Amino acid sequence: MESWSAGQPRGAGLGAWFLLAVGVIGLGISVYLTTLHYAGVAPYCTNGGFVNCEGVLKSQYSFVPGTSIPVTVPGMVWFIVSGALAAIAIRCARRGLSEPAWLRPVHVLWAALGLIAVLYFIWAELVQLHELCEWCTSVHVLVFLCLLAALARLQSGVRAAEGPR
Amino acid sequence: MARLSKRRREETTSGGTTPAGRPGPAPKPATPRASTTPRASTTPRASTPPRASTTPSRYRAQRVTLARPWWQSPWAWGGGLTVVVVAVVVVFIVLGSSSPSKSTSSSSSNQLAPASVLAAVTGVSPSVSSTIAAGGVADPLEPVTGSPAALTGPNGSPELFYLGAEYCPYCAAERWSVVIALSRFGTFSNLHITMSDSNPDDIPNTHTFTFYGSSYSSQYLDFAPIESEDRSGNPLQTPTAAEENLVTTYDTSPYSSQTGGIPFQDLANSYILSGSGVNPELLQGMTWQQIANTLTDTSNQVAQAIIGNANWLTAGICKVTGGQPGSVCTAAPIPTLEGQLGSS
Repeated sequence: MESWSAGQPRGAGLGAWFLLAVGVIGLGISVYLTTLHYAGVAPYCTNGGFVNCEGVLKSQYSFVPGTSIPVTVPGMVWFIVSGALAAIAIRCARRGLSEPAWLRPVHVLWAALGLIAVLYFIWAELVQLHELCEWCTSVHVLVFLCLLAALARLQSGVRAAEGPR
Repeated sequence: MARLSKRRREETTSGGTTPAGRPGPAPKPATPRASTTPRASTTPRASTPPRASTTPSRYRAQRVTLARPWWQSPWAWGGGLTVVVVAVVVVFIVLGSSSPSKSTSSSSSNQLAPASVLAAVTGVSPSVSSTIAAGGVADPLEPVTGSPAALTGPNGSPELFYLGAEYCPYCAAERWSVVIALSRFGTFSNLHITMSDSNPDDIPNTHTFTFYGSSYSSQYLDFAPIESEDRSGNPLQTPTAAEENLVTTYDTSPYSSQTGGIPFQDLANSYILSGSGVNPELLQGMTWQQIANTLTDTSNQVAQAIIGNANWLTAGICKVTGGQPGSVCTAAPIPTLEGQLGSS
């Protein structure tokens, strides 16, 4: 359990660092796919059969509905925000400050929003396109892990507030 | 103390009567008192701070560790969420496997052709077209013998009938030339892009257009495309009885090396185009934009094949439209190619 004494630098905990790492990796993948989209270059991935990432990435479901904006752009925004929330927690710990009370619940909500989007994309891949995209699946897994980590941090924060039994 | 009279002394020692005359109680034998240790003198206690009352250990409160409710265990939320997500994915898998078709409308899964790609195919430079000429492509138009009635469209103009399928890689390659050629005589609308099927044993994922859901308007030519199946081989469009008759009549020897093969095109019942004038292997690994970008390079193999094939088709259209429009049909290399077309 973290020490909450103000002014005393402390470790941020594995959860915050994990969330930051997820944000960085996810942002990297999103930037990669977005760059290739606008460059008109196919990503490095499997093309053929059920796993056909190019087919998925060129489908209608890879664009924000009603626009020509690839969904990788809001994906970049999602990972930036998630990483920023984790960075706030780490910064507070390093400076011995208490985390804002809203930080962990907001991170859970943000991750839950991401999971809703992920479930939509999985539906599009499995039910509509009958094809899977490796890059997309890796991003989906990252979002799911992010939600699990955010939930765990929220739970540990609740237990710390209740005090020892 | 005066001594008792002799008599009194005798009565006392022999159990004599009390003075009242009754016999007195027998004298008790003297019980020797236990010798008691003389109490040591107690020194007064130094004052000590009042101690907290110490209850005997048997009354001490026992610490009872209460079991945490299961929903507050560290793994409850994460485990529950994982179960829910896995269940939802399983449902999607079941739904996906039980529905044979992606969608009856391929346009629901296909994107509109990007403006930059459309600009490239509709704006092929006349100088590039002239330089490429036939582009090394053999004449793909087979003249129809027997002088059948001209095939015309709903507008009374000569009609180009096209039969293909979205999964077909040869259709995918051919469509690039068809779009370029027809764009010289009219305008496409709502043109979507797609890819041929992903079968690794074929020529997978050839980037192309699809005519499904598109429309074409021209004062010189009517265009009647049929995309029979989508990328997954699911039914899309069905030819009319008249169109089916065309296929039965002309998509066979001597006009076609493969009976019922696609792509199949009937240009006004004057020329038959069977198969593709563009080898789809040339387009492998190229995106729509990359293919479009080649159309300005006269030395590029892809450009030569696509534009050369389009020039042949343009020449054939000019033949059936009577050389209209003049701006197209008199521009090099069309007149030269038109002169090389076989006659019916």
